[in-house]
Amino acid sequence: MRAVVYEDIHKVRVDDVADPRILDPHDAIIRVTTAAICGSDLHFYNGKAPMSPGDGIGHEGVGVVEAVGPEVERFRTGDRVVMAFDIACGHCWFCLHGQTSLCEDFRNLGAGPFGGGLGGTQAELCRVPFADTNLLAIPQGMDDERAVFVGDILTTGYYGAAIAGIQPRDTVAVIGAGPVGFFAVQAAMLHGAKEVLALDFEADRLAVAEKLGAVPVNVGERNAQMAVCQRTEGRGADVVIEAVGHPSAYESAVEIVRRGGTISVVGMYVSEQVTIPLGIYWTRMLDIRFAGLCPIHAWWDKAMAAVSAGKIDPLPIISHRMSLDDAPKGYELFDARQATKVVLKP
Amino acid sequence: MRAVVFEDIGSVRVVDVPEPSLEDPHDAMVRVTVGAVCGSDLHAYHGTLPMDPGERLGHEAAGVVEQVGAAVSAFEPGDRVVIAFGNACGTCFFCRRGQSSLCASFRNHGFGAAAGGLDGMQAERVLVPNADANLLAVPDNVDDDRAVFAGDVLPTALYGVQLARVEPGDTVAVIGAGPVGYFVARLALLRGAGRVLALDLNPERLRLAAEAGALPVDVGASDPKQQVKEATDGRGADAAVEAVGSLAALQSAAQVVRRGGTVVGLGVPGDETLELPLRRTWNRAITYRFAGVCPVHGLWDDAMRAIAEGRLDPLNVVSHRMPLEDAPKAYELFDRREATKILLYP
Repeated sequence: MRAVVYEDIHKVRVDDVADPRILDPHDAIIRVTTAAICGSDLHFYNGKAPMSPGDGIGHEGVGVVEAVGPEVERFRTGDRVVMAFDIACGHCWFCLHGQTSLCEDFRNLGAGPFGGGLGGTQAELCRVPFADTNLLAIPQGMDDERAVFVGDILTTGYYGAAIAGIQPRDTVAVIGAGPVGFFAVQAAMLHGAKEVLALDFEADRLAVAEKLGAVPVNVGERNAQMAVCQRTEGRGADVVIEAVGHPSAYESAVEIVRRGGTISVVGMYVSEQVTIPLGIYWTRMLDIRFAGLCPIHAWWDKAMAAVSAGKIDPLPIISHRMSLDDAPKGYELFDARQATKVVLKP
Repeated sequence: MRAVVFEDIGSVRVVDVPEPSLEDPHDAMVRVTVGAVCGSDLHAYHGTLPMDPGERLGHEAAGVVEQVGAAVSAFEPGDRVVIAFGNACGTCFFCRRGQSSLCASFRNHGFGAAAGGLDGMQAERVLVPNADANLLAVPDNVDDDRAVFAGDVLPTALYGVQLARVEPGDTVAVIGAGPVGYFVARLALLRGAGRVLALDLNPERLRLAAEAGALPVDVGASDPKQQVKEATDGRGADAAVEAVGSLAALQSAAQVVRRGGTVVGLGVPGDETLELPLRRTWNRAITYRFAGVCPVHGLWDDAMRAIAEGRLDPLNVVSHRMPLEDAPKAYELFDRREATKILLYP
């Protein structure tokens, strides 16, 4: 089959590789109909996370069940499904407590040796272990492009808003209007926010956020704290969702949240450290929720229901649609921030 | 009248001070029947919270309303009351959201002019501004010695348990088994915690914690992380409540909490900083909740009800009862950790 594989830093290619096979009775093989390139794929692309040449890549994808192992109960050949980017066992303590991303046997699709050596979704076929846990049926009539992000960034944005404890009439600031921020903005509205402010320094991302109903704040042009305070009677945002994953974004979140407010840190961190003045944090009564990887399985049916109901619209984030064979070009565009989201059709 | 005043670092005195009198139609005058010495009084005693010589101490008291201003509607002379340790307006944005300690006009009792300038309660009488919001009626079946705990210690512990989001069956670690830690343990168990581990060095406090139903962990004699792990199938505690107010205790809390768990910084911290490793904290999906000053007004009726219904007995932590005149001795005992809780009688 054809699959996108890692070759070297800043280089992926589409290659002929062996078809995946059922290795365990709980496996399913999915014929991928739509895959996507995710920001975390760029960690490998840019050499920030290790991957070996020839490793399959990609962890966002939908498709049709091609084959199932004998122990798979909930799915059968021909079902349309979305795959979870994080592969959980479904039965350890953390899985049973809704924290599947903390699974004792946690793996990632298309993430090299650290992801457990699983193949990627940017391929014609993909093997999904523990299929009953890691696949979600796509409601009838929903197209691939609406469903595909439920397996990762859409649900991650939803989770970021859900754990932030948004109350009706809250002002929510979302730092970073990239793909996760895009979904966090919509999820914040869904959770009853009175107003959502989208902070970024890229005008085109802000324009998309504005179309969704967010108030755009270009932090390249305006002081973030002043802009947020202006809209909150000087207090700051009730809730901040940090969807970047950089210490400067974290510090910005601390600056723009009001006393007694909540910060949901969805952005992924690679290796940074911050200094926390305990007295100031304590006096300001800050509630800081480090999200970790999204436990997709605990949230994706809610997220899927929101898409079904038209309350979250994934389509505006898609800037490019390409054939799988054009994946190298897709990576280049995405890496150069010339694409907001690239979907690939095998 | 007689009142306890700050004299110098490590020294308090009982002296004659002018009788307070009503200054505003919303004021009430309370004749104190019982006051208490609190751990945070030691901040003043040690000079970490600076006060001027002659300023009055104390912020825990119950008593009888002696006089009310014309605009006070909820209380009249003769009513038995407990006084909130800090005074809030009751109507601003923060007060309405149950975060009265963030009230713009929040003032402390008994910490000098710099911290709000309200009368200390280790005295014969206390002037209470905005009395309708800052007094709580004491039910007939609750005596003054028990009622005094509803003004500070019990709501603070209740707040800590709320922030820890204790679910039925959870394992909760309490770092520091002083009076607040004791009540955190009791209230966590009342809220359905499966187990509470109390970490402390002091044998008397550990004995008390065991009496509260907690598993005592002597951090001087054993590795607390190991002990908590052993009690939780190797995972760590679902929530860790720091009830000391030190960097070391907070770090201890972070060490014993499980992945996906919550760390509550309940104790008043000093001038310390925490180096927070973002990646590790994010990967472990830890929530940090910095409590800030307890918003007592939204919690104290629940605390009073717990006492009135006999769900817990605050007198278990009382180690000493003394006349107000012996306050200097009380501070010495408390400072040397030879007392868990001291009640003072004017």
